[in-house]
Amino acid sequence: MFIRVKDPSTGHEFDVPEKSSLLRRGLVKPVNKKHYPPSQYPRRAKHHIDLAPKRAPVVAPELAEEPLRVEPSVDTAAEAIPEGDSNG
Amino acid sequence: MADTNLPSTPADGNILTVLVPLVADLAAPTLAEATAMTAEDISCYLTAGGFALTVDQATITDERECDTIVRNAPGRKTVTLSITGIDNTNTSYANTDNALADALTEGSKWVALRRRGKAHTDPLVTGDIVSATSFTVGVRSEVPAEANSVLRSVWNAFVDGHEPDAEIVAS
Repeated sequence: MFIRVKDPSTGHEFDVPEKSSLLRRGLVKPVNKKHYPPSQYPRRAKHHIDLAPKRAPVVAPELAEEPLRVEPSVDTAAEAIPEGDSNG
Repeated sequence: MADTNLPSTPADGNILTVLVPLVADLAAPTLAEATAMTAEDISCYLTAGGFALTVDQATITDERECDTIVRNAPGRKTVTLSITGIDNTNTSYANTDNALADALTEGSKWVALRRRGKAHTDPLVTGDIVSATSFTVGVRSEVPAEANSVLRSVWNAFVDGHEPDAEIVAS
């Protein structure tokens, strides 16, 4: 017969034979026998998967600082070398 | 001229085989699954070549009237496994050092994670490439006792899943 057990370290539930060393050494815990009575064949395993919570925690978004805009002054525009004059 | 003295890695001592009862994703076992309390390191119970995993892939032949050759395509894979290892049942070590025989009770299901290329003593870490083989244990049979030998057993295993290049991922 197969016994339904839960692995406390991973959270997986699966069936092991009655003579399993995992059961004998107490490394897995038998689950509720009303829900999972001993079975002649191993049943499908139930994996425990750590997923992100369905709803993300509500956190106020951080306000990004806007970069300072520097208006080009008239002097700087005048000093700019026009294209084509680079040969001197 | 190319250097022909390419390095190689000795197999001795550089193989780790761990049995775990279950993994959620065979291609990506988690570190928590591979190092759980229920995981069993059987490397030192296996005899040399004792983890006999073979993968055979059939050929799909696809012949056409227009062709002068027979086209081939990769077909189904057949994975077979038999495990040969130390069996200390009934000896004075039966209660303390008989993890392989204890674990492989007939009908139990295991996943074998096998890492090559790192020392057996190095713990499994995230990013390690392992082969993951899921199997059901069959009947145990004795290895015939010979002169100057130790007691060994062979377990037939029935493979239902195999990932040759699984990667250990973070929990």
